[in-house]
Amino acid sequence: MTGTLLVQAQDIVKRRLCGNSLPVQLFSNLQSAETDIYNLLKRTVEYAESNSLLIIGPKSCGKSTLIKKVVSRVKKNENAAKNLLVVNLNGYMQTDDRIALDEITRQLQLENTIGDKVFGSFAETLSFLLQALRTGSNESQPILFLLEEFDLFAQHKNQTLLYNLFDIAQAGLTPLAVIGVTCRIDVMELLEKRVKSRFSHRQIFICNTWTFKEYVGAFKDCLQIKVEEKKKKAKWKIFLAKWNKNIDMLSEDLTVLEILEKQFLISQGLSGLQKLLMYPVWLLSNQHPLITPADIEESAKSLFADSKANILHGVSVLELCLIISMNHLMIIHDNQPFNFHMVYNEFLKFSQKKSHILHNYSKAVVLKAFEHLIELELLKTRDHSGIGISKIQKEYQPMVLLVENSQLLEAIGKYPGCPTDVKQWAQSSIV
Amino acid sequence: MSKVRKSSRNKEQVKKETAAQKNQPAAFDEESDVVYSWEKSSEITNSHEIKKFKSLINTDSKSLRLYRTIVLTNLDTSAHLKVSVGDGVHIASEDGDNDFYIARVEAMYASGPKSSDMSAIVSWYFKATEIPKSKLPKQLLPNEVFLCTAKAEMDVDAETIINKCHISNTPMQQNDEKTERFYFCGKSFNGKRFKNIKEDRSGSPAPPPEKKETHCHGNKISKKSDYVVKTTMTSPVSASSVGMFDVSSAAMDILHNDNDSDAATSSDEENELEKPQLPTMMGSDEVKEVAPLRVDKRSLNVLSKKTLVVTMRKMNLATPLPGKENQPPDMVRRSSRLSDKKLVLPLKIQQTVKLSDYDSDDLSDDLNDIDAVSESSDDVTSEDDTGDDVTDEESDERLAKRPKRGKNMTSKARQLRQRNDVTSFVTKTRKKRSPHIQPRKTPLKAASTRFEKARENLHVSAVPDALPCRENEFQTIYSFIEGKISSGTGGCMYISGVPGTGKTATMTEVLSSLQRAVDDDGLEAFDYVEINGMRLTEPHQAYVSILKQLTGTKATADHAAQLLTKHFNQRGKKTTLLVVDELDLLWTKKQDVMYHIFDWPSHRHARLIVVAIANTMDLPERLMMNRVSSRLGLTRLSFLPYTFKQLQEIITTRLRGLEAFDADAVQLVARKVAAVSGDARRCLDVCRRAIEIAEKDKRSTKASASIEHVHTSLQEMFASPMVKLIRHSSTHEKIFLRSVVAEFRRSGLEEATVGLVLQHHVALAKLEGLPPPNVTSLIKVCNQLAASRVVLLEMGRHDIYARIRLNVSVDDVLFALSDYAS
Repeated sequence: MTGTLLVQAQDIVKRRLCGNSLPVQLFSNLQSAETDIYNLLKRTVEYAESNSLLIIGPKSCGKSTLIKKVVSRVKKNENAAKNLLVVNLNGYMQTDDRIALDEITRQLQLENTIGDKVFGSFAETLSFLLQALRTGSNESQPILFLLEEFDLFAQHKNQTLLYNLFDIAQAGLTPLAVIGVTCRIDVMELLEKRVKSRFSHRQIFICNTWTFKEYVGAFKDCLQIKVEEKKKKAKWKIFLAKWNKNIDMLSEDLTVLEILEKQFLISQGLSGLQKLLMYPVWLLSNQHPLITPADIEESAKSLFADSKANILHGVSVLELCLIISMNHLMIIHDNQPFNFHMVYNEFLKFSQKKSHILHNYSKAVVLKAFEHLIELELLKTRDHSGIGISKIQKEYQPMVLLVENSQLLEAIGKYPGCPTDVKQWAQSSIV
Repeated sequence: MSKVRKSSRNKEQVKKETAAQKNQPAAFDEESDVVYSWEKSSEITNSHEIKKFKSLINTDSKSLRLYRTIVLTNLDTSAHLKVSVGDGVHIASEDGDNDFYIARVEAMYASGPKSSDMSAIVSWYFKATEIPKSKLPKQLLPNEVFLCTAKAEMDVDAETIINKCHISNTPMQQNDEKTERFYFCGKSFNGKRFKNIKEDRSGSPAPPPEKKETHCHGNKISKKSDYVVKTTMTSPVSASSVGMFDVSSAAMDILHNDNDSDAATSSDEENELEKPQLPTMMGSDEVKEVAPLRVDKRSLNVLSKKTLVVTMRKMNLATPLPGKENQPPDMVRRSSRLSDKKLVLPLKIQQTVKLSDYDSDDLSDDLNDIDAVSESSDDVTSEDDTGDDVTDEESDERLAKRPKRGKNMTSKARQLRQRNDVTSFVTKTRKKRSPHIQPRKTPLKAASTRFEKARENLHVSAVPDALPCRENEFQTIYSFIEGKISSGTGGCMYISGVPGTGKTATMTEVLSSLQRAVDDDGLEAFDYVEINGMRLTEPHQAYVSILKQLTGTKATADHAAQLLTKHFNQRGKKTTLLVVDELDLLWTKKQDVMYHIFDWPSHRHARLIVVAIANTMDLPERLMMNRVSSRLGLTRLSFLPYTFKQLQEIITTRLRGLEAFDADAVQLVARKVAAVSGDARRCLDVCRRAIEIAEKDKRSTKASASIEHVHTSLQEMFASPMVKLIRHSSTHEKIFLRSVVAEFRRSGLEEATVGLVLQHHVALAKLEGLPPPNVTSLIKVCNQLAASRVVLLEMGRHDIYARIRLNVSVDDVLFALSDYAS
């Protein structure tokens, strides 16, 4: 019985973490912005007042959630629900005006208005849509255009779509509300001057204003499930009480707080938190019905893992030695590029002295190992000179190391069965 | 020769489409089962006549016999039906005994001895029931029929004629007893739209309505009187008149297709495919010939394929009727000379008519027809060895007149084009419905409060009664255009000005004033065409857009350009006013679009006024080639950005009588916007926002927007959010920004690589007492900042060697972080 209850609870939380239905109490800091947008939309619906608006804010600060919330609130109004047409566009999906226009036509369900006419050219679609929108008046149904990743629309050729949307919004034709959502703070500079002039210059900035305490609150809100009185049976209530109590305990656990703070210092956005919690929630099972601090720690470990250090765990001792010699070269030559021969020389210095550790590798073998490291993208060619790199022989191509000293040391510390001499050599270049 | 065949089944197609609608009782019940035999009564023997008809008939058979009158005999009732060229007839329909089509006989010929070999060339008329109801004109006269100007199969078997009727061009009297067989034809229909049939321009009088001869337009009357005369000619004719006849046949052909159509013509191939396979039963051995006929197998094949066949039982012989062969020869001479003059004329007239028709498809089709006919007539003459220099000259002249395109077109290409025409015909008829957004379901709320009214008035879309502060510009543009219109010349004007200075608005106002002048003060009417570079996907689409607005037809960009050039080269039309907004977007590498637009007005008969609007003042010098800017001319007008006084006036005029705005507040907005851009749109938006803020402001006791509200609004719209954003970024983001600044300071450059910044970051984090995050986390931090463009990060797989810049000034960063650093 606990099993099914657990699955239910897990389901609710999973849905939240994937961003589909976040609890309402989050984003309480966006209250004023929400009212503003709501009023704007209401005026478009009720007075046929066309408007354009930009919502700007860093990633994962709740822009899209906010706008979704507002639209659903507007739609609750019966009057608005009957009239308002919503067109959702996303800059990543509608990568050019042609696709965008097709999508608008589809979402406005205009494709069947003139018989079975199949849309031919881009020009036809544009004139068709403009005709549709420009023939409207105050008495037409208001349309909400929701442009996510607005900055990408500004990269379309001539910004035709934006110009025409803003132009119609300013021409008193079909009532439009054009709402752009973007994380680029300099988005206004992307707009052409004539497009800019037609934009109404309403911008709403959204920021993460959370303190750490609120962040912990958000952590709890994400996981805790409210008991809805009449709906469920007693067992569910008991389960939830247990579940919520566990979350409370988690939020007071020092390890968890430490991890949360670490995440908070890096990013205040909700998405980091969601990622952190995803693993522990998915881990739940009958045998393991409650989230433990260890789960979160495990999750944090993989979340904060250093990718390069991880790769270094998988290389051979020879390759590791090559990385160390490159690191020394970079330090000695003040980040100047090196080539294979320099690395090989540096490596020889070490391997000759400590010949008992390493076999006497031939040059060809070392070169092979070197190439493997290039494939792993632990080093890359430095092509600042004008000469094409590909023309230079492999051994002489200037290379730079992409591994930071700290990453190297971390990797060597964890490297299984790393010879002591290599460890020492990594720490100091003196052999 | 076969390529001349313009046979098409459009008529039949249309009829099939409408067949379902036909449920009217047949007027000829007793005759529907009647079988006729035919007998030629007056054969046409004149060689010219024959030639002419041959060009109509479209077969290369030399063994045709042509007739002016034939007599059909009903075998059951032995009633005779005399059919002459020019008679209106009922023609049996293939889809039912009770139904019939209306047509007028243009020629009759026999290709063989059998009864089925007698065919008639007819021009068709639509009955009202044959036309889809949606297309019918609102007012229908009783028994009204419409001349079919769409291309259709003109060849029918003579036996399919079931009755005679009268087609007149005046409405008939209601009390006429025989209304059933009297038809009135005042309009032509090409499958798409109706046209009034014009009076003959060559001046031949229209037939009196009482006349039983069935004519529907003057052109044809003149033509027919020629036939009558010519049949009697027995003497060889001079070479020149042969040439003229060729022309006449060409002209005649044009007349047939005259008003027509983006003619939904289908090719011969389609024609055969679509043809219903009716059983052919021809007991034809009893046919008796007055004169023996040589049967050309080939032509017979062609004909039997083409002609409609109607069930037939038996053939009998009828008594021959006397022809009109008694006319004196001198009269013949006179009329033939007369016809010389007349026949040349129609060709020219028709051409001008067509060009003024603007209809692109019309034009090209008709020109193709000219090609076809002239080719055919050339063939005929050479076959008969009577063609000589005059004929050649004539046809050469015509060849020269043709567009190059037609000349190069192969018959294949022509077929393809015709097929396209069919599809375009289909789509065009459907396109009548224009797309639109559904009307709203619940009524609009009207603005009630003062603030709401103010907001409404301040919206950019609100149209003021008059544009304040642009009186001079208005006057300049107005007088320029008015002068050009009244003098019937053309010219260019270039209007420049930064966005939001009222260029397009002024132009719109000028236009409405001009329209008023046309309505009230008798200014000559003009066509108005507007294009906007931003509403085109590609500069060359400008041609398509202009053509569509001028003539309502669609064409590809290249074709449209040709047609437009032709259009503007042609005399005797209204002045056209072309407004080109966002001109700079019409720029192409070759600048051909701009070149054409500014070149047209300089054509002699163009009567085109071009008003080009763009943002930049020096566009002609900066962007255009010399030959383009020289054509643009020097009539320029530049809209200066609004000064703060003008902006103030704009706002006050819009808010007159509302008192929703403090005077000081207005001044603040005006000054602020004037200092930044002078953009009226921006100014209005700021005011509107200020009113919204005032409306929301509960503390404010005053019922108007004050300076405070304006200030907030300005803050919202002009302030950069950068500082706010940095203030609210996460701790490591802040440290990262400080590291960037530190690295800039260290290197003295405004650019750093990520790796070096990371080292600073680690050091700074340690200084702050924070555990330094690893490289992967730090790159994440860097990417977060780059996503909101606080820093600019080099794209690509550069990892820690990616270069990084700040998108804000260092001072701003330090200012934003000051509280943190302290």
